[in-house]
Amino acid sequence: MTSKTETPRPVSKWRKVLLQFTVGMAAGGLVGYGAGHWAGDYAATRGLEDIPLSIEIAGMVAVIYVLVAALVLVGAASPAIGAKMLNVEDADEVREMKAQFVASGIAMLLWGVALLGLALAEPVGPIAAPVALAVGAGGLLAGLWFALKSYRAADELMLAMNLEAAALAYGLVLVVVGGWGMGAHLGYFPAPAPLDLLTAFYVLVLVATFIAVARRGMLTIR
Amino acid sequence: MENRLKHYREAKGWSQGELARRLGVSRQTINAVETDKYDPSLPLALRMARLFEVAVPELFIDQWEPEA
Repeated sequence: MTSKTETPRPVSKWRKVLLQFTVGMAAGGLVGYGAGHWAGDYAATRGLEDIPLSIEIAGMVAVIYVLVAALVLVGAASPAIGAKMLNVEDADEVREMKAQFVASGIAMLLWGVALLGLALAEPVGPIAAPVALAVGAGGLLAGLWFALKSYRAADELMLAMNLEAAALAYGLVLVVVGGWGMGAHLGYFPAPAPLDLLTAFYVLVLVATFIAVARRGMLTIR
Repeated sequence: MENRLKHYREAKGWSQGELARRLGVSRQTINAVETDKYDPSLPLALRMARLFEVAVPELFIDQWEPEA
């Protein structure tokens, strides 16, 4: 009896890992291929030899934000799918946390779009500077509003995780961006471009969140 | 911190979801406390103890001993 009730769990866990991995790889591969293809064509029509590295990295990071947001929002919209893709126990847990998932998913989506808008700005990209500013600043502020909504919907565990991630992000920014600035000031590294700084914040916040979650052993598939 | 939350919850016949609902927190929080991944705040620990009608030190076990 015991073995009958306990056997399916590890199997479904592995199935979940496999599904998350497959969906992530497929979505990432498809979007990466599409974006690379588009960027290549765009560079050729503009007579550019290559897209600057800062813009390529910013675009990639923006796409990661948009993809993660899309997975969270699809999961929140359909708890049955969410139970397979998100790190939750079952569909009911998705329903319980729907407000939080939706708010944080929209925040990530807006932040991703904001960075994408800035990466595609003139003079290299096709978006006029005032439009890119509106997309960048608007997306950042609107995203912040949704992040606050998510923060208010969170219970004490999630609040503790948010605070831990924020403290870690502060430390990482200090070390990475501060170190880069220091090295650049002394002539050891090239100075960061403004877009590099923005991308660094995005990456470090994501890294800090993963570290905070992993430190509590909460990356384990449930 | 080691705790006996799971023991008391199961003694009441409650699921993690039921306990989370009674305490006004998420199921993830209950799961994280039971698996020692998260130590609850003092107000939540007090609420848990009150719900199970036990003292906090019966629910949460701290091995610390004051120096003689």
